[in-house]
Amino acid sequence: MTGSAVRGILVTHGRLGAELCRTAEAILGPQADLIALSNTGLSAEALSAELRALLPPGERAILFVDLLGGSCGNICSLLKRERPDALLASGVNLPMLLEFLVHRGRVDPTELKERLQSRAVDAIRCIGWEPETRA
Amino acid sequence: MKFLLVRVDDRLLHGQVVYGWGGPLRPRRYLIVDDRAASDAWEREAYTASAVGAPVEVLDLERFAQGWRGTPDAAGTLVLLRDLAGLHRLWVSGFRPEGGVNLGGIHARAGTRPRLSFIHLTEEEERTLGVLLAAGCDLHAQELPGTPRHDVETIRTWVREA
Repeated sequence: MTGSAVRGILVTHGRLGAELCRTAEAILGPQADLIALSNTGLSAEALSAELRALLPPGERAILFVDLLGGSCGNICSLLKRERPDALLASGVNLPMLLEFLVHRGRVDPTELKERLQSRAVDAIRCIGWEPETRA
Repeated sequence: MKFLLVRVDDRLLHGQVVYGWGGPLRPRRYLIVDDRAASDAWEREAYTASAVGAPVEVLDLERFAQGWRGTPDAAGTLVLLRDLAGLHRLWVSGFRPEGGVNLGGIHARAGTRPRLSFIHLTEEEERTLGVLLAAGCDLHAQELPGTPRHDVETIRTWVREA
């Protein structure tokens, strides 16, 4: 089975998810089944209801959240009980999202999960501020 | 007894609490006092597994009401309540935190009116606030340490006659 049916739902603070989607589409072109939800101004119950409506039971999807331990992460953690076919991916960044969009129709879910995690982590580098060396 | 912070927030433990308040206050423990979270193993696990910087414990309202005076390391404990109804239950049972109670997040739902960007109240909640204020509960509204603090006089203007 490939991941062609995998829907991506970004659940984030503020406009972070929407901007990540917009930026990814600027790089890759328009994308189907990619949705951004924000917690701004919503109670946990209201955001849960919106998310539940976007995620029919049995549908394979990835819930991308910005912050594990934040309200979006908590809501998605709780929703996973009702939607065991969903994968929760925390710490979403642009490399992770691009990896998902490029590979979701090409690899199986297990490989897709591994790719998301490794790409998101491998993309992080801190360059500079090396200890000074004196001749 | 003085807790590090007692906060009413319908999102309980989340980014604003862990990073916004947790950064400057440096809690040694987060204590979620909530019947739903306490009775639901999945929800408890979601909170405790995602703890950042300090451990998370979850108690139901009754257990906290009975034992709050004996809370270990209260000065390092950040207490989180989900709603005003829970605060009222604790108040009726004798809960009297020194330093008052922070209203930090009561968000929009059906039947609410906005009072601040982060405080939306039903008529019932406005009445509950009135009862709490009349009983001497020290309340303020503040979303984050660096945002304006709205004192008890502001909250009095929201109160609906019981």
